[in-house]
Amino acid sequence: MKGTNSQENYWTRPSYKEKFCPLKVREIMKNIVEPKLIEEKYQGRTAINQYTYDIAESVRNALKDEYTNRFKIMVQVVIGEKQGQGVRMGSKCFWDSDTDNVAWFNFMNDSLYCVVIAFATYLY
Amino acid sequence: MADEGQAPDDLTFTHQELDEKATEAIEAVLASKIYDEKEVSRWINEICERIIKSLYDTRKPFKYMVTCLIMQKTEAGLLSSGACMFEGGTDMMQQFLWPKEKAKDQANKTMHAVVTIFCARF
Repeated sequence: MKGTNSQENYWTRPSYKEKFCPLKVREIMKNIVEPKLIEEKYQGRTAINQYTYDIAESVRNALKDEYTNRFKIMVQVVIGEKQGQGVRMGSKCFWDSDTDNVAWFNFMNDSLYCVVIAFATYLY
Repeated sequence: MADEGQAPDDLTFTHQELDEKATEAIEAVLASKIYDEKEVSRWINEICERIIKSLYDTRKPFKYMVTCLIMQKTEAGLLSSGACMFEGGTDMMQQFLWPKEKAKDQANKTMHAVVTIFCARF
């Protein structure tokens, strides 16, 4: 993705239609994660490694198609084994709240849990 | 070439720099604590806040996103990966695990922390 000097327009805010919509992105994440993980068991590091990577790439590519050009997309996927341990995840951001946004999706089955979080920052 | 009040020339973060910020923040909050369900959200809040503050203090033209995961130490496995679409030379995504491998003796025996820092230039 190249630098921002040569642009076709000089807008500093996304138009209403271009805005990053967390609900829509949640649906996208759900459609990627659920088919992959719904029947899976946590079977050791190497198998799951491939899943986290695949899911992260798929979500990123789907969002790239949806929000071409104007947004930088960052996706993080965490998959963990359920063993009754306590776990908690949180995030904080420092950005322009008019243009930037975040979407997340949690998934759980009997043996594992999966958290997908996607940040989008607008490219001025 | 950097005057007073102008952005520094090196417009990116090194792995080392982010590692220091992350470790410092986590150590300050979790150093000798025991995993406590009621306190975890407050710890996560504080860790993220400290990291963002130390990133902001560098005055570089970046937007920051920090995620922090705290997990009780058991035999359970955990994997985290990320995929990003941003500018290659300047933007960063780094993940840090705490306690580090070599510091096993003194470090916390009851929990793990994983911190991910995203920096996007604007």
